[in-house]
Amino acid sequence: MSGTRFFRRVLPAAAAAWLALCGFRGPGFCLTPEQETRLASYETAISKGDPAAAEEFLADKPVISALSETEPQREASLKARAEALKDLKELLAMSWDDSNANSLNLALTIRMDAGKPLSMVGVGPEPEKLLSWLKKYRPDYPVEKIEIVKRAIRQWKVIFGRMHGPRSISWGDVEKDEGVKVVEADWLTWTLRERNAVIDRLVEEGGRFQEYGGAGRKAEIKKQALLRLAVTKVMRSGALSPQQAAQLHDKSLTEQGYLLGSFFDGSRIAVAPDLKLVINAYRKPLPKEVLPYREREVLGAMLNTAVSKELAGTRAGEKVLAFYSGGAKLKLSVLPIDLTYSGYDGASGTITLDSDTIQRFMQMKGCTAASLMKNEEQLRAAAKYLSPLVVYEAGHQMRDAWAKKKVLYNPQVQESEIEAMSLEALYLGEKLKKDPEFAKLLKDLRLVSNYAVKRLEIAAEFSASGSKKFASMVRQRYFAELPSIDAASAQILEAVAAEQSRRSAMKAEARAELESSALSQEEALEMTPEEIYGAAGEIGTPALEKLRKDMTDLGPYKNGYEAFDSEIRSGTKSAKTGSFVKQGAPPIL
Amino acid sequence: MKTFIFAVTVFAVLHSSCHAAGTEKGAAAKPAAPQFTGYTMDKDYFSCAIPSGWRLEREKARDEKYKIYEIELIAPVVRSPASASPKSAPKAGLQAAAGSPTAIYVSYYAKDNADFSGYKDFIERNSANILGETKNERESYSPVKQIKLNGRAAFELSRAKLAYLHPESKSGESVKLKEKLYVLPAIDGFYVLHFTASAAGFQKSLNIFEKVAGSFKGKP
Repeated sequence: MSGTRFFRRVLPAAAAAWLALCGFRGPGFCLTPEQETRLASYETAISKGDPAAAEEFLADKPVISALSETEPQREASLKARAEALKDLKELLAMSWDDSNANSLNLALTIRMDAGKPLSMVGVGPEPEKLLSWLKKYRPDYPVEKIEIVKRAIRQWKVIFGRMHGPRSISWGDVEKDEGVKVVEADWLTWTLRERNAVIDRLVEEGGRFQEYGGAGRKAEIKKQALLRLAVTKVMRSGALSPQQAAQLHDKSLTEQGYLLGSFFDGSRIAVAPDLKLVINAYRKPLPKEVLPYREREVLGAMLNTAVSKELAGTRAGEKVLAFYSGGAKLKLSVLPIDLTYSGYDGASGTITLDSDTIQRFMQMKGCTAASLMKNEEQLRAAAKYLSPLVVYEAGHQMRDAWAKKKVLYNPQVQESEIEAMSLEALYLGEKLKKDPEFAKLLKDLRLVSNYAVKRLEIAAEFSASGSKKFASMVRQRYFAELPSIDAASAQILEAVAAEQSRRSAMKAEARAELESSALSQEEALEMTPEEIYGAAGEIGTPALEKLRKDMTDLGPYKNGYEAFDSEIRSGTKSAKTGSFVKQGAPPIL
Repeated sequence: MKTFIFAVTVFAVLHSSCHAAGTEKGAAAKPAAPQFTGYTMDKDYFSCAIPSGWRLEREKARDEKYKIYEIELIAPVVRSPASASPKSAPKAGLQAAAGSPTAIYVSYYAKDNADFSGYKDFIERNSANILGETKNERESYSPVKQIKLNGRAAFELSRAKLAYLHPESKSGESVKLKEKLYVLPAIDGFYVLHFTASAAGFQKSLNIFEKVAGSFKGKP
């Protein structure tokens, strides 16, 4: 077509059509024909999982802006898929190897589940689809990286080997319907979540699947071995009376540990302190070492003041205290928590400390529930021991308060863990340097307390790596199972777009009924990205719209994380976290 | 000229590795020596030979933000057929919990970098644990050695440690690491060459690290 003909005939016609469609709303409110063409091209490419097109679309602000005005649902849906592809590309570009293939598995599990944005663009939910995607879009990846991905997606051949004949495994009594039979054909159709559930079950049964899980069991075996050794040494030491020795005879290891703990209590049995510490740490608690409900409540309140005193005098601690004196309140509670040492609840603004961790501390230090609350020295020691957890959870609370102030959704993402762990690491480094009692406490208890060893390791890793490498370590080694902010945004936008589309097709009566019992905005904003993804249908329409808006513009979040990061960076050098007592440092030869 | 010198260095590394392989002909058959290619960091901060089978990773945006310019080289995964057998599983529970990465980091810390005040600060923070200890049940640090690396003053650090994978949870999963570092002071900052691997895999790839280090060229 000649240029003249184009300008005379086609352009005016296209312009007229565009004006008619847009109703003279002006630029920014409607897609131009060129933008429509680009959009169509993005949609086609993104639907095929093209990460380059996804990035191009996310950078095309004019198209996104116009689309958000005209078709917000279409925009949210496409953006969710594009963000998910960008996030997947970035995730896989990270350093993955044998050591962290299990972390990659967790990271992929939350991203590739049924109905997730990646599944909408052909990357899941069947895990093997990721391999096809890699072949198409990352042909440059070396064979060994692909092998790690195969391991992470729990490919049948990797997990079960090249089995001949009927490819099946089972546990329990299949005939009696007590077990589950797993065959390769089914395996290929299962999501990562389903595959992991089966592997977890196989790990419990023992055998060759331990490398895919079961770390807790191994730790338990080590504890039992240490306890057995300590009990044997005490029994052979001659320190026990004949009656005490007789009581231990023919008892199980658990009973022997418990009895020895009760013998030690208030007595002067001449046993090496290390053996006593091991037995007290690994035995079952005595009744008076258990914190009943009422005492847990009182202890929480008492720790509030005691922990605050511990935080004073360190940069990270002062930052936390400044936060609590500026409107937020420090509310500590003591409750049993299954998997972690602490938790933060945004709805109540409460930091919970695990009661089992405190009870173990009491056992190790020879305290009882009553003495801990009466004896100031014991309470101070407990506050010192627990203070890093309060700093860590305060990091979460700060981000939560920031989001509440800006009336933004606060997703549980890797970035918030980097903030919380970096703050804790800064605190630990400085506290170890300035407070010899604190250093001695962690140093003494590390023999029998993983918690104490871990606190020292966090400080050491941060000091040796610096904040740059530490952030990567948190993302890759410590919290690979959490989504990044980009991944969370993608998942939520996809879920919201799908639900909004479903509701627009509903009859008014059905929709009114749904809204009458739906979750409020306040409730929705307390949910994790996973929960929102799984329960978008239960969330009220205004709350869905709020989530869509918040997750569409990640600028405020990224600025917030960057501001915190910058503060941590400035603290790293000035705090010189690694310069604690260097008497033992090796000389330069 | 710089390019020429670098090419000569890479050639020398390749030549020496070929020569080394040649001298071992009489020994039992060994895997072929890896090939190396040249790498030059932005603004010529440094150059070195990198093993061609290893994966190179870089976070350019974060490098700029922190003024720490670094590459990470990840070793290819070699899984022996026996590794799937239950008999070959490591006996120590903690070791079996996870494997270990084999990686080499080559980093330039600019004078105004965000994390360390200088090479002395880096050495101090990497030659002992946070309590200033050099040996305990989970860690062991060797004394810092003052050496010459490619004709320039350098420091050698080495350590072995068990590292927890989930410090905020009650899980005891750990990984056993062995590491070697060279720290090279420079007028405007300092350089670090860092090798990390599982205790079992350390020796296997140490020669690769030494070849990377042997080819390293940084600013004075």
